[in-house]
Amino acid sequence: MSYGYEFSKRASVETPMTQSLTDFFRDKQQRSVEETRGIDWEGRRREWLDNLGHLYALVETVLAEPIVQGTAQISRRPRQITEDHLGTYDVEELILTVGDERVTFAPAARNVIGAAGRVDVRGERGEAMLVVQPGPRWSIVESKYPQLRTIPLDEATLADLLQGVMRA
Amino acid sequence: MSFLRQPKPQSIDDIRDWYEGVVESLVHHRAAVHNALRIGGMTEPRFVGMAAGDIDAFFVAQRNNLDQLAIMNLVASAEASLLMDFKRRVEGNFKDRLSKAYAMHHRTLPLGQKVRPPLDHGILEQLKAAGVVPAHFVSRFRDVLRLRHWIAHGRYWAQPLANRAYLPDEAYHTIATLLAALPP
Repeated sequence: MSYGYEFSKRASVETPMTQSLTDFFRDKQQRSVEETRGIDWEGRRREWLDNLGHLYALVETVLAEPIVQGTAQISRRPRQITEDHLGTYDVEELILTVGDERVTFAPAARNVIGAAGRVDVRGERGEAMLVVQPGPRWSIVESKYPQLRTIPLDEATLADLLQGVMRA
Repeated sequence: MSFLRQPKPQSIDDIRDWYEGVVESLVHHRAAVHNALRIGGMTEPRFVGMAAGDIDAFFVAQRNNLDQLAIMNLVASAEASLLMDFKRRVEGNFKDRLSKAYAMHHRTLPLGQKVRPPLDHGILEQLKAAGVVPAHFVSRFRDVLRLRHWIAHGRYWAQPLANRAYLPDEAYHTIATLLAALPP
């Protein structure tokens, strides 16, 4: 019995004894290319970055008044994301500062399960998940169990979200 | 006694089979979720929003929990085997060194502990003192016993054996070695 070892061993596809490792890798590579053939990765990345831009624009619109009044500040912090097929690319985190408290809108990835991108919203009291759903439109993931429940992101739900993740 | 009230001891081999089956399920599940990510399919709602690294982290955590539960089950099975062996020797009034040591120890136990004698500071002490199995077999079992206590009691103190990966494989062999070394 060899448990720790078995896990990785079983995760791989069994190769016929006669097939060399080089052939095996070549087949894998070819299969991977075929599986994802026709996917416009560059287009996906562009669309993802556009969606991030729309999200940040919505946040800035909702917060326009507090920003003008000087009760809230918005800044951006560059960072890089590396993903399969998309490579390494630049994004910006959006940071909302209210007094001594910060809320960060942190892009997580374009390639995620069941959505076309995810942004994590991190405040001092909690976190929330935003995902891009077909449309495209941004939604807040309210719960995943027992069923997925999302609500569209708009001015009202964004305000609720911020109050939920910020200190009372 | 109804069937439901019958003892149902589980051997360490039963536990190994269960563990390997669940590991296989986890591997297949992880592959299916990664596949859904790769080709854009849908999977269980809990995975929505997860990127490749999140999926891996999720399954690593599942595997770690499974490993710890498997270790706990293996030790629980060993505890049952040692207790049943203790009872058999005491009730059988055998004349070998270990049986005599157990019988003598049994006489010193308070009434409440005679049915279920303490393992670590009872049976294992006697087993080690009797010298019928190599002492390091007992001390290795005590190591995994400490890990079992940590898991079973809510992990609220520092993890024993935390300085290295302690896998069910090692627990299985430690236990199997000790049980196989017990005199007939």
